[in-house]
Amino acid sequence: MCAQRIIDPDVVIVGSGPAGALIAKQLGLAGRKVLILEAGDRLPPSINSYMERFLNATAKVPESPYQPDLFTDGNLTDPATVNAGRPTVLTLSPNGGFGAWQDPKQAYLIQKGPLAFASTYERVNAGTTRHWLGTSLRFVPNDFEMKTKYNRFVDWPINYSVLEPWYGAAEHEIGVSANVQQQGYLGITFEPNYSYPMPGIPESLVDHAVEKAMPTLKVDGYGLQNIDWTITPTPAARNSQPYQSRRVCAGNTNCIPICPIQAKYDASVTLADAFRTGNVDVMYRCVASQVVVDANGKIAGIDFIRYDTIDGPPVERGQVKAKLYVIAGNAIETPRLLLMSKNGGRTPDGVANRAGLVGKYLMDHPLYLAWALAPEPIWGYRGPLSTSGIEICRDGEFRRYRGAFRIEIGNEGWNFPIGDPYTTTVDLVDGLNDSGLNRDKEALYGSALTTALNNGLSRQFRLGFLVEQSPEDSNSVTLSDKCTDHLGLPRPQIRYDLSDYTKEGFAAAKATASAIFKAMNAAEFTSPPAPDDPTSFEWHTFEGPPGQNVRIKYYGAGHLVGTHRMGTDRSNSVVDDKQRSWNHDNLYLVGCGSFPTVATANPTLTLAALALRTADHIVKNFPP
Amino acid sequence: MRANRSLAIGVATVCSVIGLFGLSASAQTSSGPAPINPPVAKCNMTPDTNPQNPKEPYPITDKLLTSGQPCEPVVSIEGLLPNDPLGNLQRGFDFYSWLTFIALNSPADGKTIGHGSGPGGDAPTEWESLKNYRPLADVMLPGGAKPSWGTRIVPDACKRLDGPGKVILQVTEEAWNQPFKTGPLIDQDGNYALFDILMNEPMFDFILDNGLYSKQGQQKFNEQVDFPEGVNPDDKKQPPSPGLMGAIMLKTSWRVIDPGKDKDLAARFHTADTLIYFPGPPYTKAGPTCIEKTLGLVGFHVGHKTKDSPQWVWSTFEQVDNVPDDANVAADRLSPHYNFFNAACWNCPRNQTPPQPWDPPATLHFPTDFRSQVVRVNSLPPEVIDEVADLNRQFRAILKGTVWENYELITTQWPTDAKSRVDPTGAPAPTYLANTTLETYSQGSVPLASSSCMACHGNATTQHDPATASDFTFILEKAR
Amino acid sequence: MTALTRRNVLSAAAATAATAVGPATLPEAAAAEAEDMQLFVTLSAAITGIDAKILAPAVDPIDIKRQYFKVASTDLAFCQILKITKDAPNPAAAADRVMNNPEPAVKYLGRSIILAWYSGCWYKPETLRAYNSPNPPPPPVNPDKVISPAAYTQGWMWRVAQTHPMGYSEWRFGYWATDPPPLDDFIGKHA
Repeated sequence: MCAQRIIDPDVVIVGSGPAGALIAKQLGLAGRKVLILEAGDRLPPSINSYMERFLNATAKVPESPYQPDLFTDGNLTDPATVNAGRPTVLTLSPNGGFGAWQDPKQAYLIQKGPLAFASTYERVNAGTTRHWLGTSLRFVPNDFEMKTKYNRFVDWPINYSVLEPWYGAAEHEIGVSANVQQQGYLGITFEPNYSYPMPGIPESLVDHAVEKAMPTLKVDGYGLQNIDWTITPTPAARNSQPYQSRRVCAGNTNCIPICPIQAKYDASVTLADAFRTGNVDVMYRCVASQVVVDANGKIAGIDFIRYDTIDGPPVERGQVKAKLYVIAGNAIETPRLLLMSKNGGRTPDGVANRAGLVGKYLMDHPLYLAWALAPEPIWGYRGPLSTSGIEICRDGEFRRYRGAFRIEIGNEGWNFPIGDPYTTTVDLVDGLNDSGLNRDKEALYGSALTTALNNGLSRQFRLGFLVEQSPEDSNSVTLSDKCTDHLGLPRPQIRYDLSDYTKEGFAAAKATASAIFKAMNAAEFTSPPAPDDPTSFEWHTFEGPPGQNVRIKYYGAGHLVGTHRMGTDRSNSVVDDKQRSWNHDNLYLVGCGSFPTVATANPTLTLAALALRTADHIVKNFPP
Repeated sequence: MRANRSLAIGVATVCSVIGLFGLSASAQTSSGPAPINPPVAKCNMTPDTNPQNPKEPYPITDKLLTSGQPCEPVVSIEGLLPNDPLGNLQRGFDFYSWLTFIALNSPADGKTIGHGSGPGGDAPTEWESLKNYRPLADVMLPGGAKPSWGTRIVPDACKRLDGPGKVILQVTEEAWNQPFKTGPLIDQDGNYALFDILMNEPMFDFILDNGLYSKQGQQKFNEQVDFPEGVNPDDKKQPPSPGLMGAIMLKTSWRVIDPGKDKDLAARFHTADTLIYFPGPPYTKAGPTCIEKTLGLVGFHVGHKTKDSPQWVWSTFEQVDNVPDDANVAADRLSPHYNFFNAACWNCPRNQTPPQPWDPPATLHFPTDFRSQVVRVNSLPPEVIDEVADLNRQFRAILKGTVWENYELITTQWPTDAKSRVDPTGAPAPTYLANTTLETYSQGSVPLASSSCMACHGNATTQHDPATASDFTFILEKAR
Repeated sequence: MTALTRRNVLSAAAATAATAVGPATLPEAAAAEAEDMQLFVTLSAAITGIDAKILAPAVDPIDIKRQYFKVASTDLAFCQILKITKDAPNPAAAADRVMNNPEPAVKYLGRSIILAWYSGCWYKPETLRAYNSPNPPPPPVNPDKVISPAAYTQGWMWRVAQTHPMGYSEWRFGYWATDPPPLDDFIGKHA
């Protein structure tokens, strides 16, 4: 039953993902009564049901363990039939077939283009941390000062030194494994005597193979000519010691979509802690449908619609009231909610939107994927999905004219680019060549099969380049005027493109990938996308034939950023540096939506640091 | 001279010095450290089938009640079932589990099991004597202090309640919250179930001698953690090798027995007059305080490291009134009373955790009217269920009239390929195993997510940097 | 008590030649079933390249062969391939006669069986055949279904890569920093 046990909460939080959970816990510890509205299903006693769904899935995509089910009766579930839908990477295909990106009967997001927004999220307890990788990097100092340093975009209203202690607090709160002496590059500093809560995760053999090539790596151009190339172990919210009563990583190589032993942090850990304070409660399967504003411009409540089954009718419509409200729905669902909130015509442009910027500046880390075959076995498909990266190229003068990137070294062979080992195995058994490894299209069996398959799989590896996307106000989240979910709420409509700045970052990434493979003596197998791939674009590169463009594919890194940006002024931003709405004193919009720029680090640690800072602000400035 | 280690019932032997074969030279001098895994006077080597004819079962008579503790299982691919090596081996392990249960739960004063002076012949057990086993809280001490064997630690808050025969149970997170903080278990009277962990002397001595009782000590230990192994004596060797017990660890679960309300129930449980100590924040929300309760044993896990099962042998028992299984519930074949299930509540959601917050008050009574509604989720192959039911029937028969007839084996998990170079868990059989009182919320047959002793314990590590495998026990991660 | 000589024979059990068959049902039905299973395992080992004693050990708690037998036996060509295996002089010949059989129904069923052992998924023979036709459908080749969660965890393609299925590691912290065991440890001696 949804009857809330916390009557008259001090704070209502929409969303139980990491931002909502971290704030709920801090407020609960401070004695505030908190009520969370969560669109998705309840925290289960074990992850049995998630794991079972994952194991039975033929398409083991990031969303596969969680609800809503991706398939219904053999077809992709129609988003109009589910109460708390979300996008899937299965709907990024060309129009006209399975997974068509602009078919509203398959795709949850109404994508207006010109390019497809490629990242996805979950609407379930603990939010998208259910399927995240766990990478927990700090931003580098210059990331906060793009305008000052590189005359690009905007500066953040706070800088690295303001956030530094909060990064440390976040690292201890979620449990990040790293060695501080390896993490102080590009100006990153730590408080004196700081140490991460757990030692770093051991590097993989793939990392070592890439590392050997660093001394001879040369990239001619893109501002990378003088980089002192080096690999860096990646700080991760993944246990390298028993921590928070969770087990140590056993290298299941499955962080995305689910860690079978919960060695990877997800926000259910924080939710459980929040509940134990006795001051936090949650209403599950309750979709926030309107932020209610009173005549004085204060938030007066959150309307919700509750459902029992994911495709069943609504069972309750109600409103929760508190003194303070926090929206933590992610950078697509939060603007959706705000824009939906018309308050009977009194807020026709939505709530918190007097500057007209809610939903604007949508960003991702579009990801360039390159893959190759090492000359010797490199032993992929082992360990966490990634244990190291190349971070040293994340900052530099080149940011004046192109997007920077970080390089994620993948431990999972060619699983990400081509769905291996399935593809190569089917190739070798059925005489096909989708992988590129079976040029003669031989159909093998017996020891010929084991030898060929072992030879191929053991040498596979891939690199992922997270490119900094420029903030553009034309990249936006609005509301579809035609398509709704099963509760009758308008689905998010996306306009999305990559700027020249971002595309030039891809050109640099492509050149760097090839240079790394060359330095490793590895044979590159990166194949160009089809011309009708909605997650691809054409661009010129130095190495390509002069005057000719090449087609480059991008993936989504799973990062939704920018749509309620923070700033110095109510005219140029949606929230202030505490993530408080300029327009409503008792409203906070938290999460990566608050980022004015996306930089190059995976955003979750910064989300966590900002969330803890916001919670602290609330505790200090809003007495109970 | 070390205290008596033998668990042979009724035989108060002193461990003779013959057994220094195969041990380091330093152990042979009187000034060196005593051996961690000394020879035992007697290993119970009773097989589950007739030694002369493996197709016949070994008779299960009350002679077995005094046959002693096995040092390792005695099993064979030959047995009662034709063409079924797995089934025959399983029965051998399950038979071993019953012998172990009987030996461990025999009275500490040497009487035969079921011949104690309590109701139903109950008596304090071998494992409840500090001469034989030690609770985790008395090994992993505050500040990583050095523990000592056999000493009885009475927290200050418990001193006024203390008396002869009382057991001390220290409440840590693990004493009421199931592994990985999956949640507490609330019985039908509304009381928290309590859990405890104990180890035998060889296991303790390995920890003591290698300094593993503190974080600092673990950091200094750069070798592989390798607890001592149980092995039967071998007279054929030259010179003959003695029997060794090896490391044994226990996990127990308890429910509160109200002496008034549950008066008629008491004779169905092994009970212990227990002083329950809440250390207070940051370890427990309640406390510091100490309360006294009569606790009834509802679950009993044994882990035994043996030479042929370096992944350990895992046995688990439950009190027979705990829960119905899912087949019985579906067929509406229910008893009137269970410890953790209410037959009258037809729409109570099953196997769900209680509402938060979970921290127990010092009364151990759950603050709302929530009661755990637990059903056994069956994940064992039907052949195993049938074989175990048959053994249970016979062993319970020889324990008839005692409290111990109210306990049953669930089954035993053991490595089928202990020497595997590609599977450190040794391909366990059966694949999944859960005790409804100890792994309530992770029952099932979903790989890695559902309870399997070896799959889960295989992930246990030390607090060394970098983390090293701790030989299938989470005990080392509790060191401070 | 007399000294007992019975020993734990687990390692011996793994080394014994006969592959496991399982508990008996009715005598004749059981014998026929057992023989079919034996043939299926023999063929599977020859076509997958994995030692029969590893595919179907004598003591086999997971017994995945039963699941693959069951799904493969729904195919009309199944009895035929068992017969081919029975009539062949040795496993290598059986493999050759199945995998190079002029009848597509036989040849592609052989491929489906390999892929079942390798991936834990059932790829229908007709799907595999369609991708070899003059007008193949666009890639990727999709399986009909995951046979079961257990089948996924027992997939051989990962072990042939000297690792474990993604989402199912029996290994321990830090293993990824060291070389894996050699291929022969995983798949046994090559046929």
